[in-house]
Amino acid sequence: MNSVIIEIGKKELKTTFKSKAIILPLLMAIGIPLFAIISTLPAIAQGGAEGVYVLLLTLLLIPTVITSLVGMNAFLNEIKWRTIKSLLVAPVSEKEIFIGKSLACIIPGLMVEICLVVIVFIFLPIAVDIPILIILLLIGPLLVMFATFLIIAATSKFPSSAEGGAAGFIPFAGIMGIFMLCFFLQRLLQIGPTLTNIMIAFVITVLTILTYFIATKWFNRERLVTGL
Amino acid sequence: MIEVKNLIKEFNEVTALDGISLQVNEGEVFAYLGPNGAGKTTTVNILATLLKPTTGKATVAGYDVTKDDMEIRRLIGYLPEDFGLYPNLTVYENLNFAAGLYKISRGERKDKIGELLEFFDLREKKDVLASTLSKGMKQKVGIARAMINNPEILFLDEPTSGLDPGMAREVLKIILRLKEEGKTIFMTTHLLARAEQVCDSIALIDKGKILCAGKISDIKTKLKAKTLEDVYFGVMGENYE
Repeated sequence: MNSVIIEIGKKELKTTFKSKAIILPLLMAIGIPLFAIISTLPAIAQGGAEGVYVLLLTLLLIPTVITSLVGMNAFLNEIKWRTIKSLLVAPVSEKEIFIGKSLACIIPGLMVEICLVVIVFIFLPIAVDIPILIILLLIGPLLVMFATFLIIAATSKFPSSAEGGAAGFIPFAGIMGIFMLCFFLQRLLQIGPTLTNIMIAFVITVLTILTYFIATKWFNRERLVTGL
Repeated sequence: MIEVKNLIKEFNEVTALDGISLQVNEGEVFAYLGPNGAGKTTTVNILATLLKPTTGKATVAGYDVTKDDMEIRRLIGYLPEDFGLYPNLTVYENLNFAAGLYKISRGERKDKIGELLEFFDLREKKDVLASTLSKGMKQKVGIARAMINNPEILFLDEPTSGLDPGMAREVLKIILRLKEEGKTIFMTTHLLARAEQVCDSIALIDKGKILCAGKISDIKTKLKAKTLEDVYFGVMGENYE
């Protein structure tokens, strides 16, 4: 991978996780839902596999919250710290900046996702089937990427949306929308959980690719420099 | 080295630069003077390829700012008005990140950063967080950061702004040392007396228009002024209210 992308990603991770202001919300974002969901998992599992699928999909929102928290500050901090000009004046393309910053959001998101998979495999009281594998190993990482591109696109186009944390809800709203649409289609078409999860994965893949292209197109040096 | 012809920059309905033209020769220290909001930073931002001009032409080392932005970025160093340092990274980490952006290899990086820390007398501050540095120190680190790629041309936006007289003098000494090394320096400043000590030529800008430009000695002779301050207030006249 391009060395500049790695440098930008490393710097982003360093500046984010050195900030005390982000550590507590991060721990809370992981800890509270994890505790609540894991503790109810055995009870829900007794009610049948479908409840578990829905619960696992909800659990996948945790890595996307982490991603959103990191991503929300990716451009906001550069503007707040007035470092954006120093970054943009370097011989670095928009794509390298975008991917570098995205990488810094995707890595912690995926790390949390891996932890979740391990925890779920340990605590889940029912046999792991194909729909569960699709949820954890395909939809989970896809959601992290989708959330990353969505939040970076939104905050680079509208940096002020990151102020006050409003932008943090953008990926959350997007993901909930996808889930609701897919569950609606599941009821309408009367399809099973495997096909539903494949459909969710497909929709997220298409949206992730679309968001990536929109985000790179929206990246506007002038807007970031002037804050207009 | 730097050539600007009929440059216009508009932001929505506001004209920030209204057909400015100027020239900076190689190895010169050029001071861009004017009141707040005159268009100084906008000019620097265009020359540093951070903004695109609305119309007109500007070249840096022969490269067009609208077409050859990557080539220009490789050649220049830029100090923004607010230092451009990451507050929760140390001095070394800030310089290391800048070196990474210019694709300086890891082996070369250590030597380059060491040289800069030595040149700017920052060796003892190497592991100090940028947020805990004084304004003057931040400015020195900011200039060191702008020098990481050994640029031919340096753009310094208000390098002495907000500094105490001692630190301002130190920064100007650094500028003189850089001039001795053959760097072309384009700086904006409010400190007229200090600018007179280090600069070869100037341009005065107000409300997006260049009021006068050229060698300091030529302008002083032409306007029968003794100091740059006389030139400034003489040219700005009633504009400066």
